[in-house]
Amino acid sequence: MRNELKHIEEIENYLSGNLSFAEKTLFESRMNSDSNFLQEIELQKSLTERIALKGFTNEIQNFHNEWLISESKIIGNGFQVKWILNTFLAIFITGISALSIYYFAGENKENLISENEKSITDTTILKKKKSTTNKSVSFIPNGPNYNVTAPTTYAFTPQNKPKTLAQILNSDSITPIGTVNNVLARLQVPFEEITMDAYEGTEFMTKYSRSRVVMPGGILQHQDGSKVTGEVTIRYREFRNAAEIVFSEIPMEHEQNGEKFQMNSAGMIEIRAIQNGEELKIGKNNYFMLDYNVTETLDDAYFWSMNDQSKKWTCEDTLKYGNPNPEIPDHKEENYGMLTGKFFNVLSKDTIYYAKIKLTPVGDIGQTVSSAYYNDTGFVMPKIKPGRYMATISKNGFESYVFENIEIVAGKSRILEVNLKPRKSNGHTISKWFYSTFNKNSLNRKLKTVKAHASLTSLKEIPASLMGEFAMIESPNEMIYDDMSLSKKEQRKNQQSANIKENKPSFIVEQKSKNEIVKNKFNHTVYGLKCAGFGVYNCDQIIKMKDPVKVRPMFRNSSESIDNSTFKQMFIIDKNMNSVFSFYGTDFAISSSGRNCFLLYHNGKIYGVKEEEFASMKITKDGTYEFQLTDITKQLQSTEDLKKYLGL
Amino acid sequence: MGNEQILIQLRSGKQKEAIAELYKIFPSIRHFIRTHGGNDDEAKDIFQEALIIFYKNAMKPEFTLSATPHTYLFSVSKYLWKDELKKKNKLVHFEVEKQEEVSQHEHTEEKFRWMDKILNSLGEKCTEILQLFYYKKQSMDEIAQQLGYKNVDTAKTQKYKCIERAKVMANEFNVKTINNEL
Repeated sequence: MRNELKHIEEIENYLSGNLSFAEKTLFESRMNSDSNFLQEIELQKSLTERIALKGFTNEIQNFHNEWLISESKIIGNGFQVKWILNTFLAIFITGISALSIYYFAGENKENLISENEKSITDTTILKKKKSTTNKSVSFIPNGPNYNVTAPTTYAFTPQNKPKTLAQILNSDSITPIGTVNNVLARLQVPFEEITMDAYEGTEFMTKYSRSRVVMPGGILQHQDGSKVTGEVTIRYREFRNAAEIVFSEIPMEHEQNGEKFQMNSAGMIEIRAIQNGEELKIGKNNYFMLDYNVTETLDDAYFWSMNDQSKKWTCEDTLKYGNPNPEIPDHKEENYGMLTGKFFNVLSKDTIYYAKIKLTPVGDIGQTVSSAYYNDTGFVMPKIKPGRYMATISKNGFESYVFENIEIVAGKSRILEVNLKPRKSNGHTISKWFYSTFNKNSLNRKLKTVKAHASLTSLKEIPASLMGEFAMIESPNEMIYDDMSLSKKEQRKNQQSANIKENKPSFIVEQKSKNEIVKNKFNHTVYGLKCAGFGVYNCDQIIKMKDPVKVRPMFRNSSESIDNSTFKQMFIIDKNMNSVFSFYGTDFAISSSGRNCFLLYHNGKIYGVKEEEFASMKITKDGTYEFQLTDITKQLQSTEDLKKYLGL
Repeated sequence: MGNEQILIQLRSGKQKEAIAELYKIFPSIRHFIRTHGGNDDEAKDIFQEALIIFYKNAMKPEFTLSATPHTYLFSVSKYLWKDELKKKNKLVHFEVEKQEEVSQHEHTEEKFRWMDKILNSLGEKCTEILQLFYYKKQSMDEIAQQLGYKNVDTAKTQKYKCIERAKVMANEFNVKTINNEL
């Protein structure tokens, strides 16, 4: 080593405390007498500290991306769309990497797949009740809480190893985020939402399958272990077919003792609890109960839970089938009222940048029952007990406006619009309120006693059957539509003429869809499933692939040339099962006796090969096959469209 | 996880475990910032700034925590956010405790930010070896094996060459800055 380098080493040894006492004394003596030497030491110290800091900064950046991915799993359609769009690509691609199954390694380019290669797995069995052709799988977990710990054994070589999230995001080949998000976002199953008081708990039936969820009070905890109080949002969604599973990031594979199994689902449900953006957890030794309506009764099926981080499944319990769930009243919404509305002129020149409304029961001052902050889409207080309330508006943390008496009626929604634009009148700030179905005369009389000098105008009342199905759309120069039965076009036309007469800012309440109660369409319920945490649960049978064949696809598409050598996200849907098998790479596996469909996600587009097209290729042995792809991106507006395309 | 455990992890190259633990407070901080005039991006920036301050302190052997790391991060984040709002001429009303570390951090950032340019121009090979040693706290034996050096001495020589290069560039940068100021 050169002397200069030895010199650096000596400084490093000093800085890390690795010099002997004698060496240190000598070193410090020189340091104290030579200012240049001292400067050099300080520079080296600062540089090495900066290197470490740079490492830390990079690591927290990377971790943030990972954290967003894990958080995204709890975010339903109630969260801001913008955020979802920005992170969706990351979520998707990482999911695909995790989902890759039956990965093939080691083929050379000249002989892509050897004819003599041994079949991937043993004889496959797809076992359903009443099936006469298949044999049962000899997988029987040892009862509840059987934990599968077998390691993943996919043989990734440096060349074919799935990229990390950071690598993918930094890759030049990545598709622009906007393009990707549009199609994939449309193919997500939206979350349903209900609210509950953390101490009271709730019991509800899921919208789609009418499965029953019993969430006891007092079981929720914050991430730091403290008890949760106040209102909590329960978000849930169900995955009942391959079209709903395909882009869900839920791996339909399981590995046990080195053997790979496919998962054939009789229904999956994802449940999360959220408060103020934080995902809550369930306290130790607590659980919620699920009586789950299964799509079919499968032999050797069990109740599984998925670990959010490792994406691995744990067998929780056996399935005990019974008669379907009896109906219970849906959310008891008739016992509540709803308050929705919007602040406008919030961003005015007097530096107002946030506003808040809270309701306090009349005669019970100090006990706030519900509050909402200003945001871009207005405020919604969905579950307010009927009664009279005092509403307090705060601007910038100061209580600025108080309205003494707002009546909340069961099964009705009030719409409030709060104009926070200040103007001076007799020393008081004036706000203008619009409200629904109040007794105009009596309210005006009462409001005369309120310092805020408000004026009120009657607005719209929404029936209970439509509650929770409205979107607040910002439209500063339009009035509320009085007649919801008019077509949108007619309403806009009327609106325009109304606006000319009255130049009032307002907002539109637009009906999205009717809240129709879906009757239970399933014949069997699994009772008493205990769920000790939030996440994804699956009633599922695990099976081995029957007559497996390895396929190296070559793609043809009339509009776009697709490079066959690059890794792609590919999905096989075997219609004999309720599942999706995901592959990230250049190859995939199918059951040659399956009723296969194929999907390819590439460059922000989704391409498909239907069952009959796939069948016509007659793939019965390992090899390279050419696939004629159809770009189906535009026709896929929802999972329902995908379901139709796949013929499920 | 105990306070000491987090400090040990940060000091011993197990930063990721520590970061995962510290990130548990992020939703609360984000909520606070959202409800005090900020958005998610701003919440992320503020929180990461607080993490960096925490990390820098954790690297000081004498640093100990009197409260939990989460409480510490929340206080620092609130302080940083109030400061940020002040810079934007936005009025805000929430109480914060004075955070000496924040002004110290701002001072050192100002003083040493120029070094980032130098470190960024060192090249991949140097960055890798320096990061593994000074950040991930790996031994030179491990690094030599991991990066495929012939032996430990070769790896060490490479590391010191990289430091030497950085020091030369830093001195050149300082000379240029002084000349420009003159």
